[in-house]
Amino acid sequence: MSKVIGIDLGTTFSCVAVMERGQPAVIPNPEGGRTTPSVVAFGKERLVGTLAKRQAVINPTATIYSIKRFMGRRYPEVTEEIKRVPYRVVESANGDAWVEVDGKRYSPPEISAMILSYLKKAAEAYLGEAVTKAVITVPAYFNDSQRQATKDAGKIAGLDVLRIINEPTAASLAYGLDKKKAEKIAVYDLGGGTFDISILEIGEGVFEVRSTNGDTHLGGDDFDQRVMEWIIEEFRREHGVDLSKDKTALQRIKEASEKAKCELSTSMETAISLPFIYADEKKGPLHIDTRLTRAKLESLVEDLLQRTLGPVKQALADAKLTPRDIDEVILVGGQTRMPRVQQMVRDFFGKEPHKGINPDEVVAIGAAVQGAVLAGEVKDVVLLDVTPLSLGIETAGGVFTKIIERNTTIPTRKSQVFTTVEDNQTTVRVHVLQGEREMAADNRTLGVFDLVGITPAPRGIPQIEVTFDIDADGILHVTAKDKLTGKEQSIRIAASSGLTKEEIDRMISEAQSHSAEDRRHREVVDSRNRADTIIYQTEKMLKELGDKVTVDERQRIESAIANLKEKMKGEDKRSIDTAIDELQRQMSIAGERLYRQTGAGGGQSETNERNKKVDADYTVIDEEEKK
Amino acid sequence: MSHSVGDGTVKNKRIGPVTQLVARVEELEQLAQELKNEYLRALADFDNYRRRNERDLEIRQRERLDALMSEILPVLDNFERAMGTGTDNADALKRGVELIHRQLCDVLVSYGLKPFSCLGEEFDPRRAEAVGFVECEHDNVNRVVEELGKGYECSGRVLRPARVKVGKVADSGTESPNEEVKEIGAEEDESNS
Repeated sequence: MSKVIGIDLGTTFSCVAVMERGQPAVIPNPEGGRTTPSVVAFGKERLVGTLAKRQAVINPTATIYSIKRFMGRRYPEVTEEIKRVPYRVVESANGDAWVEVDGKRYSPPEISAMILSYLKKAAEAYLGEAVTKAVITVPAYFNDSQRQATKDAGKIAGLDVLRIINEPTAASLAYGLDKKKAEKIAVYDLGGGTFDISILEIGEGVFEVRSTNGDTHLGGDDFDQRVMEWIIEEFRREHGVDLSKDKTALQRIKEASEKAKCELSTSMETAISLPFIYADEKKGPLHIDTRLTRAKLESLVEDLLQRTLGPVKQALADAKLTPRDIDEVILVGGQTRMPRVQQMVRDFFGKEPHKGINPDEVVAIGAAVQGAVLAGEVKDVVLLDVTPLSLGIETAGGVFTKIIERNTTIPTRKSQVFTTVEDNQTTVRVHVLQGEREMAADNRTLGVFDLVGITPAPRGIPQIEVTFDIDADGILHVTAKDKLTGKEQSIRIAASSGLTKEEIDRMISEAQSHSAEDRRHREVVDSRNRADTIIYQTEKMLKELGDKVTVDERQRIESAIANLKEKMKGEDKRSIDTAIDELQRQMSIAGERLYRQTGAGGGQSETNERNKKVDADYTVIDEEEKK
Repeated sequence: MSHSVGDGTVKNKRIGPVTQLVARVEELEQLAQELKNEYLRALADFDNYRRRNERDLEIRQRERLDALMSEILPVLDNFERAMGTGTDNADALKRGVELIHRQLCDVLVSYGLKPFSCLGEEFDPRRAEAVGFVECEHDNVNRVVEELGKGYECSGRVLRPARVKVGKVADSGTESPNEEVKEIGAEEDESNS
């Protein structure tokens, strides 16, 4: 079945979302916006969204906005609304409210269909496939005729509207509240132009609307207006100029007001800076340079906020409930980002409202959730676990080498190739550990086992493949396999075996607090391991070359080796590294002379080959040999 | 019927249909289990890949931002120098500000920013945002007559539309089509008073 998109067809803004593998994705429009203005304009071409908005000022009679206010309404019902819009609204043959542009008549569903069509195309571009099905949201108070009009709009846009769901219900779905047994939910929706409060009841996966209320002309735009008026008043007081008469200045002030209001949701204070806002004949260029505090903003809009409480109280009364009876509160609409709004809601209901999901997108996401359920997708979504802590083995120097990082989704399988640390080592011990510390001793042992029967060989030659495999049930299988002989040994561990969340968190935070010293320690160990390898190679080479090396060279090399062995006993990484460099330098002096003399690079390159192999692998400690 | 030969091997055993089906069911159950495991692993791989991808994206975004900000810092430095200079010489100050402006432009251009103007063009909402009308001659109707703010594009797409005023002939009449309608936009301040 094709994907079912979820559409929030709003009064001022619309949004479209879709579920992908259990994750909601808000679909951006071609202009890059995650929400689209609910505006349609007629002219040389038909425009929808941001483009339509950009020419609204010069084309007011043919730019249709807030069409939602006329959906499914009869002409006599909307006389007040008609007064607020600059475009022509007429009575159709059957008594409905229609719009008329340039002599042509359009029903509100036709206009809405243009917006839906735009969103449909955006979804198709995003998904790379045709989109024919959708879930569309409507306010909880919409009557049958309004719902039917919305469905018709979908149909005209070429969408099979699988369901019309209520906006507060969609918001509840987005927060997963449909999983709750029996709860009462309040949805506080303060958008750009309207305020809606809905009281819902959820029981056995079914939502019931207990009551609704609101204010159809109260929203974020009114808040912006207050800031604008304040700026204009301040300016008039300081300069005696009334900027509200200057259209250009007004535009800039409007934008700055909205920006300031938004910034004050995260800051306590913001600067409003509008240089060269006005050119006064006598005074010259004038600037606006003022600061607005959050406290001042709150005082400017306090009455608007209080205005929302009336409908809330009424809705509760209609549902025969008190604020304490409400189990969950959800915030919807951009204006609810304002801290004062959140505080007011929190104080009124006595509990923390849900606000984690973008309040401009939450309704569309909820519709997408419903769409996925109707598409039968939800059955397919499998909940996968993750490993809470890293898993790995102990390697040369007591170091913890991670094989599977923590928070990896399971089931998963990862392998790494290791080698021996001593010549003729025939057994490797695989010490399986869990944790985040750099050194094995600081982590938690899960199990130990040995792989025997490795063909004797110089150290660094054998290839032991260690595989960590966690299956869907969380059982860990660690296998060590000798790639030469094919012999393998394994161990089975129940991974998290009894670690509580607290213990896991503790291990992670300990690793973080010790990370600097752990890292330093590990670096020392790494240097020591490198030193060990170099010494081994060098001693081997000295033996092979015999008296091809001069007495002087041998002496110098051997003393460098002795020095390095001494430094290795200490904790100073830098002195170990310096000693390594010195040894390598002595080696290359001798090597260069040999090369020039013998004219062949045979012996040397062989060593280099082995160097490469050993450096690339970590080595496995054989604890038995060490004893 | 099956015959059993002395050494225990069974020859000519006719496998009944039920036994066949049972064996087949077991076979399919095992296959289903294997496929389910493969599927879960593929899902987990995808999940891990997706998460790694998000992390990489975040890192790359941060790196890009860091680079841009680092290049703007010298501009800040120069502004502070300009502000710190106690000169009365307005011309010199103006020259200095022009230099800083050019410096900032250079940085932004190197990131793909390009200013554009729509003056004289026919109004196109893809490139411009209209804030009002200006009375003009007939041949300038619906053309951009005044530009209050430049437009900017970046890597081919419009970052910020130009802010413009569009020409209209005097008295072309944007009469309110509905009775008692308060017109917004061009006449907003009148209705507000």
